[in-house]
Amino acid sequence: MSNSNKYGKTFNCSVLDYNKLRTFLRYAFLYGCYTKDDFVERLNYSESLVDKDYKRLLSILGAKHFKKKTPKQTRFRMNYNYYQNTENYLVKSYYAKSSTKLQISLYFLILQILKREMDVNEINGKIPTLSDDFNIKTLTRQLDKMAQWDLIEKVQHKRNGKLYYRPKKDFFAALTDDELGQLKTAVEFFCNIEFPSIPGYYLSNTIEKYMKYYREKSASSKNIFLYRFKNFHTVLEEDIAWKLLWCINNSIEIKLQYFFKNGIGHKVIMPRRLVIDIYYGRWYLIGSTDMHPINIYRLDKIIDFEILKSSCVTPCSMEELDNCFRHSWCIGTPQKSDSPSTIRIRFSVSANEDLTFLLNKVKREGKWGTITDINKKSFIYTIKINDAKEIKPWIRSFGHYAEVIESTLCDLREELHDEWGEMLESYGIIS
Amino acid sequence: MMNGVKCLKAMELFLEGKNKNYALMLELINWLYFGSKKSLSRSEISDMVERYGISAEFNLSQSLMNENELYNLYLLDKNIDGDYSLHIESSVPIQPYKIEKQWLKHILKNPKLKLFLEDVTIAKLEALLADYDNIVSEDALTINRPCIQLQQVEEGLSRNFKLLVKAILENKGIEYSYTTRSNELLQNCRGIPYKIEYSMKEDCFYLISYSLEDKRPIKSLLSGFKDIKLMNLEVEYNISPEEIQKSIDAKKAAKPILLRIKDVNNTLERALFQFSCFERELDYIEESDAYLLSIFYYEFEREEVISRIFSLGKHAIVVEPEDIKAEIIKRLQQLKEKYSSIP
Repeated sequence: MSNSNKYGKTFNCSVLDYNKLRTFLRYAFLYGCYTKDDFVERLNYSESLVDKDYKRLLSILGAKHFKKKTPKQTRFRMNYNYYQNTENYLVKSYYAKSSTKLQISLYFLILQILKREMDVNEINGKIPTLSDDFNIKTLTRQLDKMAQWDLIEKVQHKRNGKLYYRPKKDFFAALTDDELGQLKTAVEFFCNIEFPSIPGYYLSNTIEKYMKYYREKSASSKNIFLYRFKNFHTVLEEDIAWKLLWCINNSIEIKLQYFFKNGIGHKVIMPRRLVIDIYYGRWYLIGSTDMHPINIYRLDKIIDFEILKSSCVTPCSMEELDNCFRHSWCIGTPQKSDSPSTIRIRFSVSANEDLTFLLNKVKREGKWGTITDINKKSFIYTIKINDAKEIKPWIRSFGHYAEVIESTLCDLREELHDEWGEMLESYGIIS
Repeated sequence: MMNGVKCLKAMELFLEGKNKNYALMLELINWLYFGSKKSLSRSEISDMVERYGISAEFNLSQSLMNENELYNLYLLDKNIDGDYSLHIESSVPIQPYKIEKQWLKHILKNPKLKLFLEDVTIAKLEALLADYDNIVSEDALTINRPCIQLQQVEEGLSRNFKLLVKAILENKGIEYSYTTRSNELLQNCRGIPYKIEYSMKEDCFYLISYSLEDKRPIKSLLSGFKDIKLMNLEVEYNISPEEIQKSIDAKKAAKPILLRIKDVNNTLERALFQFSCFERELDYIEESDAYLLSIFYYEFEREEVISRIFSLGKHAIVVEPEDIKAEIIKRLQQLKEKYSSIP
């Protein structure tokens, strides 16, 4: 048995469940400071699992994306260099789902055989002898799966109720070669700036292969675009995000396995909406529970979830949801009272600076806030917001250009005054 | 009611049909079918497997050659001459999966699509996707972007965009006029377009090009360009992308900014998330129970980095370099003064 595949029926070091990849990747890409001991002691990994996951990812992504740091122990750390390489290599982790030998054989044999409408028996007649575990039920399962993926069609004849399968029409047939080339460029661009993005990467590959074999025209491999301030790690949660979208669209109740503040726990929820915060690259799930209509969960803290057949939770309405988040900077909900707080900020520049850049920046980033009292060196920005804590990082990012004048429901000016003082002290300056 | 689990399987993003093995099989079958050479030798099969980065320990070559009993694929037959040909003489059609079509339907709504496609092409795609569900509706997904988004593409921007894409694809230079942010009109400019940069933070496009007048790389807002004409690059003007890349690399700050972060109030996590789009390294300092984040940046992004450091608040302090530290202290003193007086 020296040639036998030691992983049994599956090929290479791929995995059945994406959850097995995303946690390790998140720690390696975002943090990159943890050693094997840290994974074991702080992150609840077993020693063997650390080695296995690392070896697996080296094979899936390639060694060049990992860097090690000595002297003491290897830290699992990943590379990022914006101008050198725009490719989001984390996407490659999605090309690593395991499959059995039978699945691969049937996938390609079916696509090669199915050139016209056939029933399962006729298809079976053209399949070569495969393994002992192959039978007509296995074939039907594979055909149905490929029909669900929209690679082939499954039809039921009205006359006799019999089921047939037939090939799909060429999706790209209506597009000229030029249109196809333009579509490929468009898809390459949008899969880098739209969310979710993984299906876009898949589509880009599909168009490239289609052009190569069915138009005898190679798509340009020249990399035209750079994407500044793009977060690679958002793709790590897309597997869960895409499934949750389906649950939301079909009003399916789920049981979450989640990292709560006090440990791992379970919660039954009705998912209502996903939110992605582009600046930080964080995904959130808003869902209803039997205790509260609106709850917020981070997707990177969802370990897994299962679909429930029951329906016990009364979901909040879309109107409730829209009202709750109307004045939300990201996902902040109304605080002390149900009214949002009003914050007024003076933005100003020094005597030798031009106001234009600051005004344009606040107009671009200030969401529904209003700008008034514009003069040569300053203007006032006013916004109603659910949770003032959410806007604080944005205000801070302006540094000395922004001064909170007043705020209702909280004393933001006082808070920031204290913070600036404490920051100065941290730099050794007594204020 | 539909079987929830079955439908969820169909909605999965993580698909075996997208793994490396499948990509290899597709190439192998279609190459054999469409190519002039209708067979592959043993070594050619092994080379292909290696090119796809599939480790030899998984015996995929043997499975392809039906020499890995229990795991044979039976997609190829062995010929008399020892080479391998297709078992079924047929190509593999290439179809987008349902999730790819659903995604394409989602991006058809984006106004920026008109930068890439003509209206007639968009109409064709809308017709092709008419029967597919709108999976990513605004009710189901809120995309919280850092700035307001372009709602309509102007004719001028669209024209500039397409010309510059063409120039990059065809390795052409450009002649143009340019209106700066301060409304100054620069005429008779010439350059070599390198890349179009899209800023996620500003929702706008810049052209990174090599200025033939200034002999250095420059970054210009696409909306500022006028009267772009493509030109053939003469030998003496033919600067390679690698040389342009080198000039950009020369702008990298000599030393990274070192930020000491206390993991209080989620400061560490916020720092890592918002600096994930910068080259960085994180180390844990046990003695002070703090983290040290090194941020590698380009000089022209200095303000952006300082702005992000400020946003982190009091638990993120610059340790080095001295000039950045001094700049932050200066701004903090200005802030303290502002906040100490009556607003």
